[in-house]
Amino acid sequence: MTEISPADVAVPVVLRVNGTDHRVSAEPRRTLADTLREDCGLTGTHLGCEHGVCGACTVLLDGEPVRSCLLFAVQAQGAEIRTVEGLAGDDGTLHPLQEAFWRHHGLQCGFCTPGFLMLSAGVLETRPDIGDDELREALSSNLCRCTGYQTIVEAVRSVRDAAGA
Amino acid sequence: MKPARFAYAAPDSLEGVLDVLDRFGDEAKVLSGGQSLVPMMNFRLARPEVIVDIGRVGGLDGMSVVNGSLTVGARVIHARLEAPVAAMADGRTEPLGGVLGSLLPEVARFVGHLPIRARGTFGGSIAHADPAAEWCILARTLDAEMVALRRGGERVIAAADFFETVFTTALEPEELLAAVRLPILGDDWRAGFCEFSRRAGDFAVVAAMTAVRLDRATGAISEARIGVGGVAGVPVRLPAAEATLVGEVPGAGLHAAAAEVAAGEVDPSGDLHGSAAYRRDLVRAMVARALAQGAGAPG
Amino acid sequence: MSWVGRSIRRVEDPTLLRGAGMFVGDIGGAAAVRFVRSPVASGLIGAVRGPAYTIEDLDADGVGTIEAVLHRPDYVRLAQPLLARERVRYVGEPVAVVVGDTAAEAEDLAEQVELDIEPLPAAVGIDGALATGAPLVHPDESDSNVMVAGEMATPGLAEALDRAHAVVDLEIVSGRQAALPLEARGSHAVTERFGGRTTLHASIQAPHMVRTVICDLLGMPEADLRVVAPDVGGAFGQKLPLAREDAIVVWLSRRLGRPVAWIEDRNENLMASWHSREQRYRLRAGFDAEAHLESLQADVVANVGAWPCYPITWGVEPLMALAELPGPYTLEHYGVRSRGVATHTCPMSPYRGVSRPAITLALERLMDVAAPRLGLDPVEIRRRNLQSDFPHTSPTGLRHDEGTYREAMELAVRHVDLGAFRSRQHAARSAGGPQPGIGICTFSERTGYGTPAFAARAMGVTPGYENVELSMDPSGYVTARIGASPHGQGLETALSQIVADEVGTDPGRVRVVASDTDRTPYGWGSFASRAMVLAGGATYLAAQQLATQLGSVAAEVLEAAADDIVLADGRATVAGTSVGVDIADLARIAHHHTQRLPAGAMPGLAVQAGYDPAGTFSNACHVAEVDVDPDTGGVSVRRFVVVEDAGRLINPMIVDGQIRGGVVQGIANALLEEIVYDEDGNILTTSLMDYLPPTVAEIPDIEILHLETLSDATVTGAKGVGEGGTIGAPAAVLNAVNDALAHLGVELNEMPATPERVREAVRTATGTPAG
Repeated sequence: MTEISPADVAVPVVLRVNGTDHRVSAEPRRTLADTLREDCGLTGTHLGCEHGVCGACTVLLDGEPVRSCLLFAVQAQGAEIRTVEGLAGDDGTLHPLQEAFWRHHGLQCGFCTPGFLMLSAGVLETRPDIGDDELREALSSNLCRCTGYQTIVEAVRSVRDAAGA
Repeated sequence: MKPARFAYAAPDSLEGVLDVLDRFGDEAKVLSGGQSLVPMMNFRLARPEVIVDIGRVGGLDGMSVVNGSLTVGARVIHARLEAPVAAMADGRTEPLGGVLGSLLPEVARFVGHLPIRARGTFGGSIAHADPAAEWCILARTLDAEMVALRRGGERVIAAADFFETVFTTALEPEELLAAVRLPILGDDWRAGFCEFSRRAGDFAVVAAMTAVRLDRATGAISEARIGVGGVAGVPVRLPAAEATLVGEVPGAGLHAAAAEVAAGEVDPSGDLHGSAAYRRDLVRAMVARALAQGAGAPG
Repeated sequence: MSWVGRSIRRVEDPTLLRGAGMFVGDIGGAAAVRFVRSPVASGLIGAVRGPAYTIEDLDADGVGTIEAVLHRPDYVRLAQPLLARERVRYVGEPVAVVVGDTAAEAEDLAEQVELDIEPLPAAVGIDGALATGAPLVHPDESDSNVMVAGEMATPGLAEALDRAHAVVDLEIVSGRQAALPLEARGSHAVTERFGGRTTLHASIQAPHMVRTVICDLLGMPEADLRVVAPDVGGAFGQKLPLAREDAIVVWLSRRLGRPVAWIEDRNENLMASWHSREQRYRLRAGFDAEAHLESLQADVVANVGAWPCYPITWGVEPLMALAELPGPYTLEHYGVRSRGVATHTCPMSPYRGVSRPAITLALERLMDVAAPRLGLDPVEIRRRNLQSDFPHTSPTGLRHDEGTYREAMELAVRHVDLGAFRSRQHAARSAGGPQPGIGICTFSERTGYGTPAFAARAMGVTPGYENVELSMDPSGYVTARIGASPHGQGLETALSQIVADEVGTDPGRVRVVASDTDRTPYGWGSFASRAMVLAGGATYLAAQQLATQLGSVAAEVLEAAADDIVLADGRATVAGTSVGVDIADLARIAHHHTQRLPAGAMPGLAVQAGYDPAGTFSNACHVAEVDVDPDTGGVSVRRFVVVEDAGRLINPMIVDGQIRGGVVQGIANALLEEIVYDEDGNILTTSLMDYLPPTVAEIPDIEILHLETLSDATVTGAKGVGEGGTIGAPAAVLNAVNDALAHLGVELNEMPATPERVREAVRTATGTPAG
């Protein structure tokens, strides 16, 4: 008989985030985003809409950018999760994308920034030679309300070009 | 915007999934990629008692060509249809060519955004049955067959019977959509797809798919299919518009005439995203453009 | 070399890039507050059953009401309770509040609360609310839905219209929009167990003002409430007014003695935060034979929703329209009636640009509609009407300081190469398919105004000045404590550049402290394109004082005259010599060796300055190129050019960021975003699948050129620039859409120009039957 987790009981969940195992307990209904933010203390992953449109909650799940508001924590067991907190080096060195967003003024209020960084990281890692049009299409996945997008595109493009140089 | 409570099962076998569906019936809901279901749960517009996560079940994410059909496993993510690779009858795995092989990527790029395509599944979209969803329009236009499993049984449902109304299909509560069979269109077919949406990645206001078969000798159309989404509770076929094409040679004039018939044939109701009159206008434009696209596409 | 004028990287960024920003939802450790909101637009509240607090609980605690006041006769003054009392007036109005351990549990609890509401007819749109016998939004306080009205006319208006060579009538409609900060609103309150002091963290733009009003409501001394705006994820005006939810969060934390937090979700934010911009303009304009706009008569109506916003009141949109409609044009005869009409819909707050996107749309459509009737092109008619003598005083008494209205337009037109565009357009018209169009918009942006401008509005609360406290610590680092409250604009970076130049240090040695009532002087916050002018001006004045203090210490140490001391590159030197001392050493002396200071000098290095200017006008010209698909009504913006004159640019990169972000919100206003209600007052746009902010796919790169008129109206020479992008873009885009379809006879004067509206206009113009 298949095991069923009751609705009102928190179940133990092990999440592997940025290379570290987090042992938490979560009701089945708890999303990955809420679990990262409230149980793992990783508040860099933001919630902007909770229905999969804005992308502020984007994290990498086994290398692919996904909306963490549309995943339950219980679904993410066993996966390799990466969040904005894992982008910089262990010594604190900013990731090339973080540097580029800084240099190109790719952020203003910074609320969408972690989502855009993780989206961009996932795109460039899996498609390092992505073309300009495809990159723009990929970046249309997330919303920014401050920058007008141009500087975000320029930042990501510069990292792609530097890596290919 | 936090979902209501639900019990959760993540069986690691098909039997386990069918067992839970059998036990809980319409209290249970299948969770595949979750890209349509979870937003509705976050809004509490959907509040299933039991979630059956099929993410740990093997064997639902294959693509294979058998007897002139492409079988797409329910858990194949949208992204894989951007460059479909299928197991062939001889056991080899290779990129899907032909008309269907060109059509699927053309359609897939309209499905949501990249992160949605990385999680969302073909079967999930079909079972969710949004009338403007690209895969539902494709399934209806190409007369796909839906393979439904239940404990101890399997049945095949034709697309014409599958989509009943908005978000409602012919699947019984204890049934799982396991796969969808799409006809491999021969090289005498021409297919086109065109959609109008407000923003990149949004659901279409209206989308149209056309597929016509050309008589090799005369160049005239011997068989025609026009499917449209966004004009009814389900994706619809437009037999009158199809009939105007049969026996004629493709061309701008014919396409416009068929599009005009199509616009008159649909009976949309208006909503926030478009009035009935506007949707008719879009049907005219989308059908004409899909036909034009198909006319120029390589076989 | 000067730091001002350089595009240095922002000091704000590293924290945000690491995901280490602290937004209000990141604080945690609090019970979750959830509001139970009205499901109907209008109705009488019967029983409220369930585990919730209601207005009765607030009343029992003596909690007061919000009174947003304008001291003028034609203004309906109301006392607004923090939760609905007796009546609900819009879908989403908070009726009750619950507290749960988690957000999900609070939502469960809220579902258990039963509201008995007897529905009543609702007044929804402008016409519905103005109709005879319309349902009244505040029947006990007013026998009409007109909540504020202003009227004026210059002498001779009627005669001027009578003798006009050409009279143009025009109706302009602006749809309702939401500011949509990516972080919705939210607040988090903790009350100390002993002593009872409360700390409120809230996603807001004006923490000092919020502290005052919450303390007034709760009857507590301001000293007992600390208000902090942590990192704020965008605001754009929506976080300027008091959120009644924030006041309730403070009340709950004090009543329950436990930390509580309300984190608004997107559904609430779209339904029940604040809306903006639902307006209608009816213009009659008289031009003379040389195409000079001589006279303008306007009737303006703004839908102001169900309640005023505090402290800006529901005069904000209609009265701004009244005062600023004449825009950048010379105009002698002006008459206007402007009304704010209450409806059973979400209340209105300022949103980036406030009325000016609609004002500008009205005027710029007027120019484009008038031009062909007068035998002119859109450039020439503007050339003949733009202000060019400064200062220019408008018919409503606004003083325009020097600007570059004509120069900006000429530069923009040269830059886009209008001639080449017309050739392309001509070719496309014969080819069919998507039709290119080009649209010009020239406008002025009133910015950086202080107390005098607000006082003229006769508000119950008069905002205006900004204060800055500047100190140098013994290590030689400068701390600026500012009353303004930046939230993503990069103000900390820009202010550090101003300080660095005046004090002769490096911006990296300047820290800006903001947005915390415990640590900053009283100030008004960041809104109305004011922070760079106001806080920048006060910082500049304070930095000059600090430089004077440093100079006198240096003079003593170097045994030179204070006037001969030059502060630069971290050193104080005697002019024309290499004799000098490190500023850090001076800082040490000023604190630790005060015996070396001049007789009578105060120990330490600390100054304070305030700034309260009358205001200054920025100006710009926007040019949009679009492609319009006549079959679908779809519009894509192909190119967008901005020529901006915002005076001195403190950090050009930051200025360009403000312009780009503003333009994109303006394009969204023009084409995509609209809050829609049905006729019963149900809101239909409560998700981002229905309310449509643009993605990068809908937005072109934005080309920016600068003119730099150094204003004598501000001490730094800088003008405000925060709103201009949003103000100009809608008119540029609508003019371009009309230009693209001009050969079909299309005239479309409503925004957003949704594909359906564009298609409808094509159908109407070409006589194509519907469907």
